[in-house]
Amino acid sequence: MNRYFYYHIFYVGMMNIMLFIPHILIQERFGGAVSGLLTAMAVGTALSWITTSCFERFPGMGAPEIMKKYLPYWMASVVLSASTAILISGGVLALYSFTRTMSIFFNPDMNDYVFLALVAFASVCAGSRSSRSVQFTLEILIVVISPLAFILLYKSLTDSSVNWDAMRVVAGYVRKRPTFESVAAATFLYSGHMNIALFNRLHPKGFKIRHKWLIPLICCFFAFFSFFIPIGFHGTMAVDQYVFLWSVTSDSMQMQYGFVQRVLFTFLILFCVLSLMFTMITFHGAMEFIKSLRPRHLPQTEQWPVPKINWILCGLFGILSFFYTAWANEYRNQWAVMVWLECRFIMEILTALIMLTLVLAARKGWRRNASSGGSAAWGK
Amino acid sequence: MRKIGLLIAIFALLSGCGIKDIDKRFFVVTTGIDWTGNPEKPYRVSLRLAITSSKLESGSSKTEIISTDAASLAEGVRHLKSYVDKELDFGHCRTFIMGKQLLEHGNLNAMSWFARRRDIQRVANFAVGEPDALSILRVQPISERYPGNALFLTFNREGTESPYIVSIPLFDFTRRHFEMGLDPVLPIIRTAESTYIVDRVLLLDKNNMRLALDPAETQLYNMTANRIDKSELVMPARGRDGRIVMTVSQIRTKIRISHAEVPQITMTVKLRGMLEESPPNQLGENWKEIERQLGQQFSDRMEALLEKIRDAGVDPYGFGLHYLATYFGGKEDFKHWQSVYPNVKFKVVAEVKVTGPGVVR
Repeated sequence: MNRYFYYHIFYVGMMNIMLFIPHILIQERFGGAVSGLLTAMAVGTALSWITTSCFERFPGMGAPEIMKKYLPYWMASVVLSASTAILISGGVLALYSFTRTMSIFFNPDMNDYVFLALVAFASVCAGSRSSRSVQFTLEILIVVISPLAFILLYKSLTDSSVNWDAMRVVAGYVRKRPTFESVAAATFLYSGHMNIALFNRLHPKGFKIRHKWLIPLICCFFAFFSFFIPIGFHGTMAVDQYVFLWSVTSDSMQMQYGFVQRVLFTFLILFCVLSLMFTMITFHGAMEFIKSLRPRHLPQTEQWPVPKINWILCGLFGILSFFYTAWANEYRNQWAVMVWLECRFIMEILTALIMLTLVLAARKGWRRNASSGGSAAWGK
Repeated sequence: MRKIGLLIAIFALLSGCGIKDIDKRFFVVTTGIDWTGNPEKPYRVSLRLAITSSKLESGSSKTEIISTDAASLAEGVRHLKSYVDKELDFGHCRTFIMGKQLLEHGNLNAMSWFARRRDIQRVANFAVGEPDALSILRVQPISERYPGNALFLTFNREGTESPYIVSIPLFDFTRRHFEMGLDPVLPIIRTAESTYIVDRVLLLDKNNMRLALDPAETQLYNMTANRIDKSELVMPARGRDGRIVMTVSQIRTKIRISHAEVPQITMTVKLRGMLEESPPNQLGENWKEIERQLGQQFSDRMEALLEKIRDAGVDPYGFGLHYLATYFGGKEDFKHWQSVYPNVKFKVVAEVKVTGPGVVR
């Protein structure tokens, strides 16, 4: 069961590339980017440890059940709606940036909306399944793409044209004060643990996440990797002119004797799957959160056939992504991503604080409606 | 029924793709850009197009060259599309050649067209054509099996591995164009009959050409900057006829920059290799002495080259960047570096190790 938790850490750690986080950080490479990365390391690790340990106290319960049990209904629904909004917008942003990347690098002649329709359809299908299926899909996709991820890692770490001097120059700006933007952007890498808010429903009683020291290790690696390798390839100055930074970086490597000489295509396939995973999880999470807003909702982790409400909700999210694509362009999207990252960061801190309070409350045996339940369900 | 409907919907999507088949595309294999001297249309864009054929023997490659004058690269390429019957595809264009005149007059910032096109590979090689790019494109090497293959093999170290050939891919060229303390270099391509000669390198500052190295200097530069082995060390044999030639099989370079007011740059080069040519029995008498003399010879030539490069006001090695990296410097440190770079001292320490005289005694 442990591995299912770490899949979330892995794919969110890699997904930062699709949400322009290296680009955002590199805009500040002579400012607070490096110290922001280090601050994010401390903040992200603390948040992930706090949140996961809190959820471990409530086995088999997702965030909606816990909050509905210990908080007044209006408060729980406000918090849940806020997380739902964050999840939906995350999925929509990922869909948009994925569509843009693909239409630029695969086939610029193709209509963006046709492409979006294909991807959105796949995400809606995947996201509307039951939590258990989504969990298994995640595992299968991770297994399928991991060779590609290893190729990309290997290629970029062994390429002789990487300029280590440029990385060192940028690393020297560590003394600058970190900005809120850079910390908010960099903590995204550590936010894979947030998925436990929903997938804790699948965890059996007595479940403990082992090897928690792996979380900072994995995330740090991805953070420094996705920030410094482009600097090594493009130097300290030229690196900020590329918006699709990692696509260009992967195009700067070549596999002389590979099936395809341009590493770019390996990269695109990898991130095609990663984006699909990300939208699948966010759509699914948002859908489950909305469903559990009903006061008497009973969460089910396995459901067949798929209830109509799943299709309707996920379909709505898909339609939302069309509206967003119609509104957005490259600049608006960057602004939106930044706002989203900041909101997500605040929400993550809030969640950790709320969960901490709830654990303390549960310990004291305080409940919203003490008459209806038995003993506190934090399984200890 | 519902499943069939879904299938039909998916098929309907498939027909809407804008993909052009391979037989409706012209693959550009080499692009050349020249300076026309005409202020209205300063750029001459020339494309070498591959004509696909089923034959696969040396000399069977056929190409077509189209060329036009334009005010910018994008306009030129757009105009050239009306010269041909198929869609132009830059996805397989592995060599871009700029005419020497262009580098003398033009503005390198106009080259951002390359960086913006998504279908141009960032690993495509850049070079200077002498006297101009179009004449390089016109060469039809008789050994070519695939159209445009000869130049691509030259630069990619897949075919020939010559110590005289410096290859600069697009991303590296862009990096050097913008980077502080690292300047662009470009290999020079010349023609001879039906083949290319690439044995010189051109050093540029951010916008203009400054210095062209001769073949011997190019080899030295390539050995130390790019750690290209399969190169050679040469000196006349003392007291006898003939020359001593050592092929270098392994080379390591280390650069240290002191933090003095006027920094001193120490370059330590470790060379290993065997004697490929020498008067007989030379090695047995004074192995250590030959190593020492070869090293002395190498460091004298290197110091002269580094001073020449410094006096031209360029920094192709990235000493400035290395200085910043060593002392974690910022913009002010770089200003200081720029002011003292014309006066820096060089010291080259060469450690030569001869592994043996080959298979003879």
